[in-house]
Amino acid sequence: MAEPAGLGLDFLTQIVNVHWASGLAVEFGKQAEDAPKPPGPSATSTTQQLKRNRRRIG
Amino acid sequence: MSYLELKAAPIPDMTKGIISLWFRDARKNNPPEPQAWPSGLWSPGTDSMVPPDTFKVIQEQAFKHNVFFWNAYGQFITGGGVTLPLFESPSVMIPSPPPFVANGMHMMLTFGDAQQSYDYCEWQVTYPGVIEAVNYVPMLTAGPQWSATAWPPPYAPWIMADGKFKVATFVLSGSTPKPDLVPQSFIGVDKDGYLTICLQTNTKASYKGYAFQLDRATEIRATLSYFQSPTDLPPVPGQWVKVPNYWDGYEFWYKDVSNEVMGAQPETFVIGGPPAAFDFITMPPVSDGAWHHLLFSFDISGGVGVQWPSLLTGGARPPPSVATGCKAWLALDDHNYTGAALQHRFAMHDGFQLPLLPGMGTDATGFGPVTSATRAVMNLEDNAILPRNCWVISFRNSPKLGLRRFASTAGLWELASSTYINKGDYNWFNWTGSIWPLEGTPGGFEWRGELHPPKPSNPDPKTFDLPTYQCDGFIIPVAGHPIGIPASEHHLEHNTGIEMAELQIWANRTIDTADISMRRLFVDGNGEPVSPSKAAEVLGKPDILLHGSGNWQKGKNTGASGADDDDKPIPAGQFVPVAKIEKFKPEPELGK
Repeated sequence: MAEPAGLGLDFLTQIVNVHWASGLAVEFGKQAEDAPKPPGPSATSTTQQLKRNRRRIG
Repeated sequence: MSYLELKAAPIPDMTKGIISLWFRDARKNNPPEPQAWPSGLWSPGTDSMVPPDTFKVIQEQAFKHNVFFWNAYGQFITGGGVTLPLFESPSVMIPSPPPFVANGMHMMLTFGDAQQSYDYCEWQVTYPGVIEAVNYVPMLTAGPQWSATAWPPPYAPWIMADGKFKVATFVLSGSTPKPDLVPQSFIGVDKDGYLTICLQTNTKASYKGYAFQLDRATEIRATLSYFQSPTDLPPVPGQWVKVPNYWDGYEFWYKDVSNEVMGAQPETFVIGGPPAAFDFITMPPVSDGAWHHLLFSFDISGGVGVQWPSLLTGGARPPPSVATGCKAWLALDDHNYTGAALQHRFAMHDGFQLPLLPGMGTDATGFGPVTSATRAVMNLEDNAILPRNCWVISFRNSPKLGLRRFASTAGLWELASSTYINKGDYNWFNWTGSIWPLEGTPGGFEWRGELHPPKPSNPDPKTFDLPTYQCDGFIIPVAGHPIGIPASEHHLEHNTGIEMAELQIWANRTIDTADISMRRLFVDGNGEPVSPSKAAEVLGKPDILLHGSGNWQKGKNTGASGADDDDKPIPAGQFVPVAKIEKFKPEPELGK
């Protein structure tokens, strides 16, 4: 298919660039306390584990 | 501070590489306090990693009655009975110490083995077990002045206050690996905004002629001849009586410990960095808080050889022999840098660029044993690079030239000329300044004896190696080791906050950043990022690609190590985000 006059590959490249050239950057620099807590055993599950262990020992 | 970490990189070890990275405002917070090289005057059990200065050690109470014939920093220049307050050559050159390279650094990327150790060998004092040295009474005038206190001597009169001196020396112990001194490879910005790249290999070089220890001392014994019938002058052969086995000093045996001293750390290449004296050309600092782009490529698969000749008579320093097959290419903000801007000398504790460290010995000049050479001295091609220790140069002369082959007190007064005679090539003039008065020879009429010391049987230090470096097969250990953005856990204190975008890493590929068509794969004519697909068309899919804020936030690597051919994520190749990584505006654009 013939390209419309004045809309060569350069134009298409620009469109592509505009499309991808946004939302590229990030910022490192927040303190660790801002971060969501990493997944790990919750207090409840730890308590339950202790109870189970006690039962086994007892 | 937030960061991304890939604990065990599923990419191969690197001898070559390409790294493209957008970054901005790397100096938001202060880096940690600089890590000091453990220093101080050597003492038993010391933590100091500064070689021992025996001139100072003998001032310590514990060593008041020892004598050292070796000093890491050199012996004073002597000649004609005169001692100048100047050192001849250090016996031990000092390597580029490891903590300095990461000091003051704001990290942007760390990669490679974080657990390499610095194989440090401590200096330990030992006693060679030879007859004790004596500080003899100096000869004041010609002719007999004393009688020997024992016959046959080894000992003639000495200054009682000084007495005898037990011969001591320093030798290296086995290596004690020190952790946390060898950094990962990194890309960082120093406190003044100078881009610094460290390529930390796991490769050990071969060093010769950089450091010698005095391993062993043996006694040498002379033969005394005296004339039996002095009435019959001049003496004729056959009337001399020879009495062997007079102790006459020591000869010294050395070991080349260059590998232990200089090669404690696996080889490191450092690119960029701040200006240093006589090497002022650098890349411009990136301290303006705006977006910058780094395109860096390296090839350290070639070998490196360096040899430092001794100074010419008169003190001129001939150029070193240098051969390197290692190269780097660097474009910062779409500008290609070569020569001194790419790699140049660095500051050492030489008493000139940086103050001497506590415990370092010096002479009247105040200079340390080593400094670094300038790029002009190394005479490198535009893109050639060298491991850091290849730049280290003796501030004085070749270490082998400062080693004493022997020490003797056997100088004799020659009656005819009233001057000292140095027997053969044996006597050390400085030592002959203290005469051994061989008076009181047996017989009715005494006559001055003549001493015949043997020629030394030990190797002549002048035949030892010049400082010579040889290494090939450099490898940066990357496979299975952490990659951190801006820093992995090992260097977390150096994560000082930064904005980043568009990280692309190719292992074991290179590009020439002087080629504008290569730079245009990453930065367009407007100073904006180019789609990563462009570089992938030419260079293939990068091993690591972090593209787009969303992927950065999740640590999603869409390069070859993080996504298969169907773009399905490979779990082992994903970064783990720690703490909050936020989207950032403005978008990357040079100068914005």
